[in-house]
Amino acid sequence: MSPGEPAAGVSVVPSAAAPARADAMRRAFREATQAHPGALSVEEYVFAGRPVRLRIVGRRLAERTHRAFAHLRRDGAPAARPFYIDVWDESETGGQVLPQAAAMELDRRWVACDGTLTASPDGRYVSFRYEESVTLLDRQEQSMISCRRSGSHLSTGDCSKPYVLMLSIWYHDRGVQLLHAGLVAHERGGLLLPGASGTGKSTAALAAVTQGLDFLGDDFVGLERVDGGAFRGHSIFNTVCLTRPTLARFAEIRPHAVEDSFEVEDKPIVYVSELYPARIRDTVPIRAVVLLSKGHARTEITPARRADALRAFAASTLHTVVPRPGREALDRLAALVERVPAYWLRLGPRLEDIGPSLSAIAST
Amino acid sequence: MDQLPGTLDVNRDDVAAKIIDGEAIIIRLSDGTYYSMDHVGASVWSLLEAHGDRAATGRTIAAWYRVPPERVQEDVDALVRELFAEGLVVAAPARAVSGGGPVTPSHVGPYASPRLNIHRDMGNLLALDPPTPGIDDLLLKTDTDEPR
Amino acid sequence: MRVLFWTDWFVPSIGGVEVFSARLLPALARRGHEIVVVAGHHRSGLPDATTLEGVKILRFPFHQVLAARHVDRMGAILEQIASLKRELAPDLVHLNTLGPSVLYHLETVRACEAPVLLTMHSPVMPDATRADTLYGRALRTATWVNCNSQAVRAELCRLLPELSDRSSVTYYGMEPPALTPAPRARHEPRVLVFGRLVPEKGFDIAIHAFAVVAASIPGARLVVVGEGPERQALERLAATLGLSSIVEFVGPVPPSAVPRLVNTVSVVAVPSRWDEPFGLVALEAALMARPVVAARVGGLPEVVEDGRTGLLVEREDAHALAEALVCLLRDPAAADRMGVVARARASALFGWDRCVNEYERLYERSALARV
Repeated sequence: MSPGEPAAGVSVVPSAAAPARADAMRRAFREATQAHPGALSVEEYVFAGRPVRLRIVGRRLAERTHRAFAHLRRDGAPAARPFYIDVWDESETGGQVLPQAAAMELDRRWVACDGTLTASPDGRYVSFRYEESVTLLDRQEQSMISCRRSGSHLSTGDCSKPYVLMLSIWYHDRGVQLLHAGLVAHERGGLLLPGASGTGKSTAALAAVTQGLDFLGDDFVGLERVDGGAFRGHSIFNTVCLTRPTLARFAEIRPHAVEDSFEVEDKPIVYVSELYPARIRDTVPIRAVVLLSKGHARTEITPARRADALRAFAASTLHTVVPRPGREALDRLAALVERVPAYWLRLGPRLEDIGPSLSAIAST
Repeated sequence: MDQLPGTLDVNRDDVAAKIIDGEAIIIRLSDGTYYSMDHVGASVWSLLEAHGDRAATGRTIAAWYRVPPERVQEDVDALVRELFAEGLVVAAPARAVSGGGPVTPSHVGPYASPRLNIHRDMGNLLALDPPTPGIDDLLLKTDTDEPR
Repeated sequence: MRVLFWTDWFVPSIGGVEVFSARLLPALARRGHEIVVVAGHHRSGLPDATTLEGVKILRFPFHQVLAARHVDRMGAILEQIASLKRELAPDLVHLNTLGPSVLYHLETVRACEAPVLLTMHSPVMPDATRADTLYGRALRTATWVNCNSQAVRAELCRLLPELSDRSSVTYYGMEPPALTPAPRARHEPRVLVFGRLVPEKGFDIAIHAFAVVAASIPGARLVVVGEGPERQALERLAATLGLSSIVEFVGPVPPSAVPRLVNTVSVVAVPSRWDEPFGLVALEAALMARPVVAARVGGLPEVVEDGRTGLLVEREDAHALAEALVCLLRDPAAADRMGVVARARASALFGWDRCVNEYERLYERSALARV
């Protein structure tokens, strides 16, 4: 321990200690890479047009994490100033940072997502910890450092949307808003499907990709407003997370679903780039918003009012994404529903109607 | 207080209100107290919002619900007294009706004396749920030229 | 029957109500009832709509919208709830919370005229008597109120005498676990406390008591299962008392792992300092034939029979708790006898089928009692 670091067990630290926290984590990561060079993997990615370098010490953790972002991998010369995401698995490296995670807490503190979110007063450093992991984000340096208790102890969320909370902050800082929505793409443009999974969104997204549309996400995607007031959607994760009954409807996909989270309630995960490598995209201009409604006698498309579309976003995104989006986000969504048309897609029992219906909406 | 004002307005600085399906939901923003009223109360509220003339409100409600005006005026005054005491409406100068004015409600149920439901415990109850952090709580003070 | 089951918390959250309803509702569904659950969004990433063993679950950001005081968003949710009520046309609305989300129910009663059954899973708050609170309004407008212990019903009727002829008690029930209770290990006397690590549960009292227990009983261990905001404070307390090697913090376990855990200890303690309305923990211990030492609070004296299935001690009394624990750890034969009686009593009074039957009868009676 270096001078200025509090003893283990002390949780309230003065704000000057935030940089020391970050240094301590970086040091621990460096030690992990030096002690276990064989367990280190480094991959380059592009997230919403920005370069990212993901370095992971720990074979099992690397395998599961890289898979969730595989579709955004980038070849070629490494970028000069990427966003660094450095992670290590303490069960493989024998580190002792996680047990002292409470000592990593910064000044301002909230309870969220079964964990603890803390931030320095200037907002530069944000940390998030829960039983299995602690992560620190330095927003100015664009560096994120995380350690996990064990790469064999990953929940469905850890596998299907790793680091979503911290990434949502990094994306926000780049003008990309995280939405609880699916996104699929036709050659005429992207179709946003607001609403958290279970509203038929994951089913619709998966049906769409099996029927020839492109996939960008089923649960969390990025929304960016570009010059001229148009909107662009960005893929964040490569995964679709399904309940078993839903998965059962996709006979050709079922054998490929991965089920190996340790959670009692685990859900199977599908890695879309592995099944449909030609039908996954990283970004697309938004063409329309599609509101889903389940349980109808037949599949049907009707125009939706802007208020319905905004309400669909408000009911999910504005209240269940953490950190909660602010006023700016509501304004951006209001501008989105002004800009692009919205439709109801009332889903009947036949999966095979979904792809053609979405294509029809995109072609309008 | 001796004399109820003849014209009122909703306390726009401290009140957020919405009429849904003929019912009114009102929030006193300063302390998070929630109020609600059924369709008759909601009608009174929309009239106070439109022109705030207490006597005209009584007459309009009597006409809409086909009830003797004296009884209605008593009820309206009692409700306004409560709204005033809670700081949800304030005295205001007479004003012209903005826009086309309130429309006769599409579903007018049977008349019942309007009642103001008050929920003072909401603030405490909500405090039991820890507030989720918002991105606005994490405002980044920086001078890089990255867009935010 | 079609029932709209209204709750704040639901699985995968872990707590008394969640665990109980996650078993009750599928059981009722298997008996042919149609149950739709309306719950709050308390964790990020949970679906808006899902199914659990034939029971439909719908989640809404109730609290977040209220806390944000955005009346437009509240309007949007009210419309969704009203339309859900109209479409489902339930025979009964079953409220399992008196939290802020109930406002969304009260403001949509016109959408369906079903009677309301309110189940009290928590102790009664003084706000019950006030007309200008959501709490009071919800209690007064309920068609029938059932409580999970006599203690809660007694307090309710004391505060609101008008409820004495429209209230009743339905105890929680549990199936005996598939696991056979194992004879306790006589060589390592272990005591278990489990639950959310919050001040109300009084686990700090158990740790203080253990300073005495450890001195009297060689090899004694306190096992603390669960997670919560008090964890660090409890760990520090154990360290300060020199008990770090004696108090073991296991962290959270899923409900299915509880019987196995209880099997590894001799005694279960429930040192709650708040008015624990029922004490599901005590019932789980009894079903595994373990005596319980519990605080004499809330409904615990109804679940633990003092001197027969366990021992009751005064609230906040670490010394009394220590004495009771030492007494049971020193006399394994007496503890064994208590365990046997506990198990028999639990099966008789708090059986699962009985519980489901009672709820079914309650649903039928409430649905008919249209006021």
